[in-house]
Amino acid sequence: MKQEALFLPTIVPIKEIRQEIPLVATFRLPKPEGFTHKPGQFLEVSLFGKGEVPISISSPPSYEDILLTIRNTGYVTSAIHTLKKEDKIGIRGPLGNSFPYEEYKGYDILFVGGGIGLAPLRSLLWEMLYHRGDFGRIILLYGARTPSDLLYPWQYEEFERKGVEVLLTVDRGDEKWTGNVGVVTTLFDKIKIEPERTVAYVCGPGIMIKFALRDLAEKVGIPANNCIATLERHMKCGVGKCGHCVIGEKYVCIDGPVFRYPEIRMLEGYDDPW
Amino acid sequence: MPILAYKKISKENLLKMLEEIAKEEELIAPVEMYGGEALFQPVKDVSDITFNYVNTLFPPKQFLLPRFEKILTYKKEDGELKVEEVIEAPKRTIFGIRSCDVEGIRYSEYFYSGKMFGREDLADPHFMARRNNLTLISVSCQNPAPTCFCVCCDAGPFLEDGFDLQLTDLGENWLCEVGSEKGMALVEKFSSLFEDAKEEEIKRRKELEDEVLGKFGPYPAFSGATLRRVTEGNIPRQVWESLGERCIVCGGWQFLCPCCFCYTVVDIGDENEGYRARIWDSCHYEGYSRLAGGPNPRKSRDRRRERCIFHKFSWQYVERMGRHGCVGCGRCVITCMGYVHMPQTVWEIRSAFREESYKKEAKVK
Repeated sequence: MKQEALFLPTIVPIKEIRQEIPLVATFRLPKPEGFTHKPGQFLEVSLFGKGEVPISISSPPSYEDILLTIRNTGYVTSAIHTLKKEDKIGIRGPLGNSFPYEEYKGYDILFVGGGIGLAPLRSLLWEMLYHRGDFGRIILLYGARTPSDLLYPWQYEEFERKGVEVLLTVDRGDEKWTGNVGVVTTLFDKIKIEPERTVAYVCGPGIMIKFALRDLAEKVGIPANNCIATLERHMKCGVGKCGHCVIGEKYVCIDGPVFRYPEIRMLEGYDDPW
Repeated sequence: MPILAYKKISKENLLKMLEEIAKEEELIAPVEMYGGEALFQPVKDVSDITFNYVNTLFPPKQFLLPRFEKILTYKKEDGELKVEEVIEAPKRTIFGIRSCDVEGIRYSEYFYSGKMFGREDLADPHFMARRNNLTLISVSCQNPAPTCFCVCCDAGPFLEDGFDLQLTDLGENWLCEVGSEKGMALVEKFSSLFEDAKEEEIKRRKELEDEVLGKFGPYPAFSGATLRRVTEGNIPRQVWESLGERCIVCGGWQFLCPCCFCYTVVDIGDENEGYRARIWDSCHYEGYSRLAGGPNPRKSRDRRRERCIFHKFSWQYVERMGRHGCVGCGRCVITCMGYVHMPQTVWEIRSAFREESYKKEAKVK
């Protein structure tokens, strides 16, 4: 990215909008010229007149388009949800660091997601499926509040067909739900893994990240350095200038959003983050 | 950078030089306003400049990071959205800036240039364009205010580097230390006004510096001791709660601090035409860390206070920024209505370790 264009968004049209679950939709955008990203990076999405929001990229680098899964929750995102196909939107990025994964070839992979936190993990999950032979087992543990809040419901079958072990859980089931009930950390007892050669990627609400990382490192026994999480903060500028995303001495937009457990544990205020 | 040259300039010649500078570019200098306060203002007539001030009410940071700044404009024309970046960077000289503010500018520059992250490709184009067009003529302090504590913060009263020219009042003349290539070019341009400084005049400057050190008031900030305690993070919760309770979240400290530089971004206009602007922000405001949808990692005032002091005083930051985030200008002492300014905060952190009641609750790591 050129320095002159640090705050200048590129304008792209929306190619397709898919309503995933209530309040969450996936926006398909064409890649601007020369655009490449790594799994775990994010974009600053501009809607002029409303503002800019950081959104993680949910499509893998090998995919031909950019997919952004956005939940209708705040001032700008609610305006983004009123857009239609062919409407113009500004993007700036890709920004931030990315999931380390090339060094883990041959490892077993454990994804732990909660709620909308599956969106950034999906980018890496699909990238691994494009190179399925390089990795051992791939396990996806995913939890949401209710069965209708489970993100990408149409895709679990495809994941399983491609050799991903998918385990779902919900906080509150309904009459049709026959699966696990409980928070996502309760799924850790249901899987048998070799912790020494496993790497875990975690994303979800702050409180979930905290307990998932603790249990993975201390109960499941995955080496702390192989427990990797991507954090969520309001990154207003995305390039380490405005200061809003800071935790301790780390700026989530430029030092992160992906951190390893030992780094996260050292952050100021981690004992009582939310 | 070491001092490139020692020069001297008479008081009349200095005004002549400033007059010439004011013709060519924007000259910013302290002007007496609002019943005796000195403020940095653009000056056309050099007779407006005041030399009778300790420090200005505001630091000159708004000339690098304006309170309100357009960063881009957008306009819809025939269905096509046109976006243009706006960079406003006139050539400027700031005269009369004090040592603490020079140090504050250096601190901000280290952050905005991306050097803090080792990412100079992500330097802020707006800030850096203005910084590159800026010349600093600083004036060393000989009469600190009772609120000043730069001696505790390694930021004054005299500087070794960071300025383009540093002036010291020697009575009839100004001693002029040249601290950069930019300063050297300025001295060469006005070489008829300058003379070489004599050995005893350079010695006199050192004597003056020693004299000033004895004049500081009752507001010491024991940076070293505080730094260690903030870094370890074992300050009793009651200290933060007591500070948070008294804070009225006015944001005054952050807006007057030469080392504070957070901003927020807003779009002004509708979807067809308007501009995007950035405005100063304060980490003490409740909305600072709030995420979309409402969750707030730093909801209580004491959490936000803790966050602010962590930025200013932790070794984690010193390691990344090269110095701690206070230059001892004393502006927070003047502005703070809740009596939770920097020296007071430092004093409370220190004294917490003396009082038995706090000791029992202190978390031991």
